[in-house]
Parts: sequence; C-alpha cells; structure tokens
Amino acid sequence: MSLLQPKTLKPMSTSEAIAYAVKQANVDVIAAYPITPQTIIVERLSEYVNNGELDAEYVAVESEHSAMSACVAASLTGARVFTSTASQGLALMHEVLYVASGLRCPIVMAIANRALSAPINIHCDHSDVMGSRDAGWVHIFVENAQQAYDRIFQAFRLAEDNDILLPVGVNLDGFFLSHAVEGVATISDSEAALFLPPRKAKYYIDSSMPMTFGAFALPDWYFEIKYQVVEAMEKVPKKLAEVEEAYYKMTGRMYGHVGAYRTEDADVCLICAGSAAATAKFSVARMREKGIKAGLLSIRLFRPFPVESILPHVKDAKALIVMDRAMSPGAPSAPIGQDIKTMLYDAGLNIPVANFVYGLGGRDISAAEFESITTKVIEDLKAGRPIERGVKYWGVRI
Amino acid sequence: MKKLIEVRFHGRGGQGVVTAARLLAEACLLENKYSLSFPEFGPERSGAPVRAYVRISDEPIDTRSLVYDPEIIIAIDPKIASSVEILAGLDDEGIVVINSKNASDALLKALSSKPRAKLFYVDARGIALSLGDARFENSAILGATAKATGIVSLGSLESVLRTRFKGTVLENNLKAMQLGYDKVGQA
Repeated sequence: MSLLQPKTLKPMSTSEAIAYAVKQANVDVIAAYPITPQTIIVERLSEYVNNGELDAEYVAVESEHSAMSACVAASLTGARVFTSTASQGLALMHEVLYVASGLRCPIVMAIANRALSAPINIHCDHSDVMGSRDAGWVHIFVENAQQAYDRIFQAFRLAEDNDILLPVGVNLDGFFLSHAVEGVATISDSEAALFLPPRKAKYYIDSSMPMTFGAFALPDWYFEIKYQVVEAMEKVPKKLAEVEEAYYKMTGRMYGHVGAYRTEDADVCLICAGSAAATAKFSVARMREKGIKAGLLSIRLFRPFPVESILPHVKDAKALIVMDRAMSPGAPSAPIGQDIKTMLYDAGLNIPVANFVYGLGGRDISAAEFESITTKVIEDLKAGRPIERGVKYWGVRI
Repeated sequence: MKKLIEVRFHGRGGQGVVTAARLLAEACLLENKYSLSFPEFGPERSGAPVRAYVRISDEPIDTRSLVYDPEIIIAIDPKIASSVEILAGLDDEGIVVINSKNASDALLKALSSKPRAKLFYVDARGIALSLGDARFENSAILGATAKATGIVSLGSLESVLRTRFKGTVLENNLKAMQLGYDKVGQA
C-alpha cells in the first residue's frame, strides 16, 4: 500500500470525508432526515447543494422512512442516489430497505453505526446494521476515514453495475469514526468522474417508455423474484474485486473483502469489524513483539459474507476469537459469530470459536483488552482446556 | 519523539475543547506527522464535562480506543485545573498544561510520585478576558502547549487558525495563542 506524506493529506472527520466523496461522486438526489440521529454527513451535503458546489436535488424529509422511500423513487428514475442515517433512523427505514433491494435500487447509504434504544444512548455499536442484515443490502465496514472516503466511490460503482443493482451500506462506527478527524488523501474531481461516470440505468421510469415497477407478485412469482437478489449478491465478491482493482490503479489503495494481519502463522485469530479492528491490529502488533502468536482478520465486506476470502486466513488457526459489537438475544451466537461458525461447519472445520459481545452503547475496547482476551484463549489452548463455547459478554457487570 | 504520543484534553461543553484538539491534530499534520483527534461526548450541552483526545505519530495510526495513558494532559477548564482527577494515567515522563494562575498544592503533591513529569500553568482565562472574550482561552492554552511540550510549533498552529478564522476573531485568537506561548510557566 502506498503511503502519502501526512502533510499532503486533508484533515477531515470520517463524516466530512464521506460527504466530500459523495459530492465528488456527483450524486443526483440526496434524501435525508436532518435531525437526530443524523450525522455531519448530510449537513455538509446540504451546504454543498446550497452553495452550488453540488448540482443535486436535496430532499429534506420528515422521517427516515420517508427518506428511504424518496431514495427508492429517485433511484427508479435512473438517478444516482445517496442517503445517510444511524441507529433509530435505520430501524425506522427497515421496511423500505427491503423495497430498495427488491426493486434493485443501487442506493448508497452511509450508516454511522450506533446503539438502539432502550435505554436511550446515541453511542457506537452495530445493533442497527445487524438488525438490517437480511434486507438484501450489500454491507461494507470501514476502519478509518480514508477507507470511508474510498469506499463511497467503490460502493456507487459496485451498486450501479447492471449485473449487481443492489443497494450498498457503508458502515462507519458512530463517534469513534464519525467524529474522529485525521488526514485523508483525496482524488481529483476529474479522477472521480473517470472512475465513476454517470449512472447508465438499463430500466428506469420514463413516461415516453412506460414500464411497471413494484408490481404485485403472488406465490407463483414472488419466490423467483426474491431469488434474483441472492443471485446478484453472489456476484458481488468478484465484482467488488474488479472495482477495487480499478480504484487501486488510480490511487494505489486497496482494502479487499477482509483485512488480514499476521494471520499466516497465528495460533489464535481475532475476527472483528469496524474501528475496533484497527485497535485490534495495534494490539496484535504489540502481542507479536512479546512473542504471542496472534493474528487479526477484519471483516470489511460483511454482506455477502466473503467466505472464500476468510477461510484461507483462518483454516490453520488453533482457535478463533470472534468479537461482535451487537447482540442477538436468545441466539446460539452473536451475529458475526453465527456467520463464522456456519462457514467453518460448511468447510468441514472444527476450529473452536470464542464469541464475545463487546462495546455496546459506545463502551470502549482498548488494545490491552484485546490482549487479555487473546492471552486467555492461548493459555487455555496450552493447558489443553476446552475453549468456552457459546456467547460471552466482555466487560459487562453481572 | 516517542513512536506514539497521546494527548488528553479536559474541559466543558462550550470551551472549545473539541476544536482545540482538532487544531492541534491539524497542525501536526502540517508538520508531516500522522494525527488523529476525536471527542468523547457525554450529554451534548454547554457546561457538561468533555474530553477530547489527540494521537500523534511518525507512522500511520491504527488504534482507535480512548486514551488511557497520555503523555500530555491539557486542562482547558480552570475549575478542574486544580483537581488531581485530570492526572489519571499520566505517563511517568508526561507533561501537564493547566489553565490556572498557579499550580495547586494538590496537583504538586499528586505529581511528586512522578519526579520526571512536568507541570506547566498559564492564565489562559486572564489572557482571553484581556482580549475581551473567554472563548479565546483555548487558543491561549494551545500556545502554552506548543511552548511547554514542543510537540508542535507555534507557526503551524497559527497556520491552522488562519484556515478557520478571519478578521478580528482571527487576530484575537492569534494574540491569545502568542500570549499563552509567552506567559506559560513551569511549576
């Protein structure tokens, strides 16, 4: 990965970086609810539109349900469409999320991952997106402002590909990323235009060429139409790799479906998503200095779950530690834990998995905590003790 | 410089704590260092305690957790500048910069266990009020921080101020920063 000199980078919060990328992506329509739980993302975008820096329709709606409804309608006209939300806002959009994927609307949405009420909280966790994970959206997690900026361009190019036509969620941790300021390397407007030419929709609402969108489908066709979302989803890993390759040629930056760090000879591999993956990387580097054979696999493409990209990195580990920033009360595992265990079962692997729920409602997790979690599992392995199965709740006072 | 320098700001909502952290991080970027700044919010309202953090490094910064063992602690709020709670986790060779006319006995006593740590004070409130507005105190304390810690130059901080402010607001912030730099004292 090529590194630019810090002095050439622009200081931006992850929210500002996303807004800037969306402006450069030259979107046609933004529909968003502007009040809590919203981020700086749409605030900046409304300024860009107001200043004349971005020629787009900015639709200020009365709720997130309406925001996603307006996005669906706009997308069906062939427009490039963006929105952003968080926590309760994503929950309120829930039913329309399925409409967006079912009608094959390539909307891109930034989701500042934040906790769900009650108790009312506002801080970071992944409860919001995990509640929406079966809605037929592609979901990408980012670990810093640079990834967020770059992924916006990639998300539009992926979503709008006529072989894909699925909505894409770009997930950034609330506060830990949304409000954190760091240096970001940006591309020029002309590079953005070259990488992301105007959307060429195959089917769109046009009064001179009438078509039906959102038709009724009874038991004779509903299942087949829904299955097309699965087929499109299956094409995503390969298509995203192509999109990334093109972006890499332009910028020298590439992230992959997963981020692997020191996994090649790791006895124990940590698996997590979002900003904590960056902290875990720092922790693994420190553990390696002490001779602890830990590795990290960060989930960057979450839906579709990139089984083929994950397996080679974890198949030789003696144990996996899956860290989930959301719970699934009553389920045998937390969300990412469920996916990893299913993946291992299908691959015929019986690697023990320690699944932890951590950091709900914005509770921090430090590099030292990753180290103590990992060290405990390594000690259990050395002593021949079985790894505790099921879900454990890291740091909760019980 | 250590591989990774961690800074913790203490203050209250409305005192420009988050802005001060961001200005410091942006100034470090100008000096070709990687930086990361982020706030820790409680309830978002005026007067509520606010912390903000900055990480500075010659290498790209991975860790995103809160800061627990800072090398530098900066107390923008004069009311908490005498409380020993702000010292939590201070590095043994750490530097503390407080908004105060002097160093409290309590702070000096608490720091006696860390003989290599340094305590600096600056009457940022007094400087700000002499320029007509208490809101200039974060610039004054940033100037003091530049002098006390050497992590960033006054010139880089001034450059960042120039990108954000104009007119008399800029002039007064620049003056506050220079006065903070000139008047900071070591306990």
